[in-house]
Amino acid sequence: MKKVIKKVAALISVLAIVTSFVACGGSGSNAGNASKGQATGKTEGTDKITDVNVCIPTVYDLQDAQKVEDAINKITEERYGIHMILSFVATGNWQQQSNLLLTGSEVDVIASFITPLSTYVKNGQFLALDDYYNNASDAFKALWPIEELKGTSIDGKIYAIPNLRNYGNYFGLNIDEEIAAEFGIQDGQKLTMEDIDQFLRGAHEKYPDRYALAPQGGTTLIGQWSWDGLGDEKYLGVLPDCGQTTTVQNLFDTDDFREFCTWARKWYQDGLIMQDILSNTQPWQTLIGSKKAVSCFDNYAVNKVPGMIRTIVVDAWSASNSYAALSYAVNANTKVPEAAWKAMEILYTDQDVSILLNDGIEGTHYVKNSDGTISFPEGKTAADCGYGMADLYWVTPYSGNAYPLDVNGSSFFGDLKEFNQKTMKSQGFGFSFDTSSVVDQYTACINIMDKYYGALMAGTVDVDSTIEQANKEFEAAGLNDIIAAKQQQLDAYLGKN
Amino acid sequence: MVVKNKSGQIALNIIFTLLTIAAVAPFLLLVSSSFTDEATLVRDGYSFLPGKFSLDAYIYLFQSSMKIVKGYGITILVTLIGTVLSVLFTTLFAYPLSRKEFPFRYFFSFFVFFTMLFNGGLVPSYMMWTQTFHIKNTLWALIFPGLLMNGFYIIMMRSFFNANIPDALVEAARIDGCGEYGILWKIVLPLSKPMMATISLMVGLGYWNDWMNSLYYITDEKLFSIQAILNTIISNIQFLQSSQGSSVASGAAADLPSVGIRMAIAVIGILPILVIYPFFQKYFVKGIVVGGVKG
Amino acid sequence: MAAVTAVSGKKRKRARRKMTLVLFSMMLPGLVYLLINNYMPMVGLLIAFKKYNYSAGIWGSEWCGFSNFTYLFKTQDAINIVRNTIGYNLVFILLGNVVAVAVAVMLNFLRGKMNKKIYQTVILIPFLISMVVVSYIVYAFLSQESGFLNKLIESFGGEKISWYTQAKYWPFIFVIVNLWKGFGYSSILYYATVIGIDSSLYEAATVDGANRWKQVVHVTLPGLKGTIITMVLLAIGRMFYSDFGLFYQVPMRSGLISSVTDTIDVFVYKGLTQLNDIGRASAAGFLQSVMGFLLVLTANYIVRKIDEENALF
Repeated sequence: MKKVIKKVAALISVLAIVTSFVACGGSGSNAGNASKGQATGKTEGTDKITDVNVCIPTVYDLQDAQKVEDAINKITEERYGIHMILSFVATGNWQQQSNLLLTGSEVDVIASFITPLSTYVKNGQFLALDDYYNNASDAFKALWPIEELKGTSIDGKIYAIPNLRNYGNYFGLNIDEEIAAEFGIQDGQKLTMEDIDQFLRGAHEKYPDRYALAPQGGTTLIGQWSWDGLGDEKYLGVLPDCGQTTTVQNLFDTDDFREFCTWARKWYQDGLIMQDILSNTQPWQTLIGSKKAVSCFDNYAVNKVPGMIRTIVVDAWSASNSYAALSYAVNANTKVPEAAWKAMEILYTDQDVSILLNDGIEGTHYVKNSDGTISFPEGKTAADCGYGMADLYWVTPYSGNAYPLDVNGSSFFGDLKEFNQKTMKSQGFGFSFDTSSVVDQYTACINIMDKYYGALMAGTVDVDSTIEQANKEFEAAGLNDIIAAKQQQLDAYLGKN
Repeated sequence: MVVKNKSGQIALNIIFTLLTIAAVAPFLLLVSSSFTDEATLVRDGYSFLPGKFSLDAYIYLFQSSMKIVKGYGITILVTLIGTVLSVLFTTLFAYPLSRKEFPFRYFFSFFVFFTMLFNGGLVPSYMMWTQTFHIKNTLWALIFPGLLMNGFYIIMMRSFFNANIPDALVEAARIDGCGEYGILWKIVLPLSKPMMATISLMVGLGYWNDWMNSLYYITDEKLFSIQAILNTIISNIQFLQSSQGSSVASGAAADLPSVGIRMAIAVIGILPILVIYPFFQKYFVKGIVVGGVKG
Repeated sequence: MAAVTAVSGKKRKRARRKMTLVLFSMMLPGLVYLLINNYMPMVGLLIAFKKYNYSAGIWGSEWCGFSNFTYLFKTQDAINIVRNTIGYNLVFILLGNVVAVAVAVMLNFLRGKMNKKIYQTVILIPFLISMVVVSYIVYAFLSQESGFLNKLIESFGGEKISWYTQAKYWPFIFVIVNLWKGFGYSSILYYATVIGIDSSLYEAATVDGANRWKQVVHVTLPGLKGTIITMVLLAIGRMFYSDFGLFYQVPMRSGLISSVTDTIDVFVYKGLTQLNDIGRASAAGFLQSVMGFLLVLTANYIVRKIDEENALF
């Protein structure tokens, strides 16, 4: 054993040497930070072109990204003295790659996505943008008035700029067009859960070899329903009733949740839902498209699904984190904060850049239609046209200046803005829960939530006994601490506003 | 050493045939579903014979992405360079560890072993490689971080030298005036072909199958290896299927590659190895002969 | 006389020092690489004791004592998770090595180049398939509605089984999948050692009248002992780790069976994903390493007592 101890001691001394080596590297990078101001000062004075790294999520293989980047830079270098280096990161890799990028200064403008904005901010990953916003162009301020940026502020400071998406959702049932017609259900019709029950049973009888109801997100009937997680998509402590209350509750104790699960359970037991829903790998589009299913719950705003009609069960409402869920921010470690902000403004306000970034190059990636919409070139789809971002209008910084895709219709972006304007907002709007005081409880509760939430929402387990069991585990894991912390933070937030 | 009697050989062959089937049958199910028409797959489920034969998945993959061909190029290059460097470094490192007259051998064995238990984690490694060594978005990023040397292989190699290189042989060579490098080159290596072959195989597989380094260190798609391309497609599917996609925005569920395509992706990643491996094995078998003749 | 030995002793010493130096020079490239790739980032273990702030970096972040570790113990499931991790590892080590050694020995008994080649190639296939794809394959077998296995059960008149919702099947499924995926690889590792065993030893044994079984016991297994001990010791060092893909992807993330699928890695991943909390992630890794390290030290100590030659260090 003595020998081993000696070896450990020797190793530690090696480590110490190595450590001092790294420490030098560390101080080197600090020096880099110090010279930050200098570097940007230079760019403003002269015509020097500043590089800005922009990181955007995508789900498609963008083979022509370089061509688009070059086209964008032709504009931005001349007009603004900015050279953008675009990197598109696959959504599936997002969490890992974005987190690594933020450890250094490799990226300047980056999407805040998947991880809650409050977490990014508490980790010191983003720069506060207030000063930059105050000096922003009028066009930018007109696009994002200061009130709207409450949705992306933490502790009263702006940390990100939202992108254009639907901030709220209707929750309802998508139904195969033909079958809906047979049952006399129209697009946009309001339905109660009883109506849906009746329809599903009717459809099951008429089409016994199809599932009446397909899962939405892979393995649950729908990801969420009428509860607001207050910036926490694990729903540990929610505002039920579309956020029209200010009392934070345990999701499993809310009537909203119980009611939904009870219906789901009935449908599951009566064979209206596939029995292996918990391990399903087929998306509902495929299931309904290949005539294996009839309908599926979905949340939506103004966009359409070809071949299906949409109905409304829960009227449109927007959750507290809806603005922040996908927004754009500046890396706290950036060496060129001014240029980064400028790039941000360009991405949001320069129409030519917007069109290139959102739709690609005309003739290569899209063709214009007479009604102002665009289509992918003949025989191509978003997945294989080389630059399918047009289909991902909800990802890019600002798509409102670009052309809408044909499936969405010519008035799409106008409709979207109007929808966002009139959608009912949760009482906790703009609030984002900061988990840092209860992380121990939070990690334990996430595991319990993962265990039961999906199973309950899919109707695969008995509602009452499972909820009872889950609540027992939640109590032991400290869910009440989380709820109390959430309530306290929410009250403070509401008091301030 | 082989079993000489016939019934013994038959029994062995039966056992191995069963093992082979067990190993390959699931893979065949995968191959078969990659050749099955998508609608048939959804309706009839999985089977070993494609219900309705279709090449759609492969046509889709190769049409939609010439990158696959490019990705093969990157992978092959990285695998070759990485394997050669790795076997060189590993052998040079392992040999002194196996010499009883090398005074620090216990310390360095421990030094190696320690690396197998403790690691600083991804973020510090990443910061070091990108900020001190600036390898982000270079070919080196696919070769250096993590994969080049593996404590396990060093220790395997050391044990092999320990067990198979007689001290007397080394001592005799030394008396003949042979230097240490000479001994390694002329005496040790020829006796170590099976182990060299095994380790190149393992290291090569490691490089071939690696997608983590691409995930961490490459954002320039031109440098994506084949596995990185395939993995990205699959992780996109997983993201879109989680409810996260739909909670950010409706309409997020974009064109998902079908199950058939996912299966085809897997087949494409493995096929080249299955083609190359037998050629490689030739040397492997040669190594065996040399190893057996010694004594 | 005495003077002569002194001189030759000095000479020998010098020669010895030179040899050590040459041997050391051989190790240099690897040494530099290990220092850079493995040792330098170990500074990052400090993160486990810090509240990591991205803009402050490793050195600038505040110390936070052991608070990054508490989440691992506060959960009710802590015992369950540790039990799963260690339990599966023990079974994997035991079964994995027994099967691999058996296959390697049998491979060595085989006659005929062609079939040997085919077997060797084919049993390696599972190792080449990534875990995500393995999860698709497992699904192709186990899917309740379209899975191959349920179709088989049905054609024999049985009831479809809902594999993904019942915890009782999964310990077996994990063992089978792990064995299936890994046995080719470890067999070939062992095989490489088996073929290196001096054939004269077998001949001697044959002369002594040893039958096939006795040859295995007295020649092959002792020849393999070093490799086996190395493999097992190394596996013991990874006792508190688990194959994340196997326990997370293969059960299709089904929550209902988490009592048998949650290992330390899975628990940490599920709890910390989205939080970007590298402090707590490092804390878990740190603890896993330290525990594994202690286990290996103990095991190695025992091996050293019994058989010094085969100890790892």
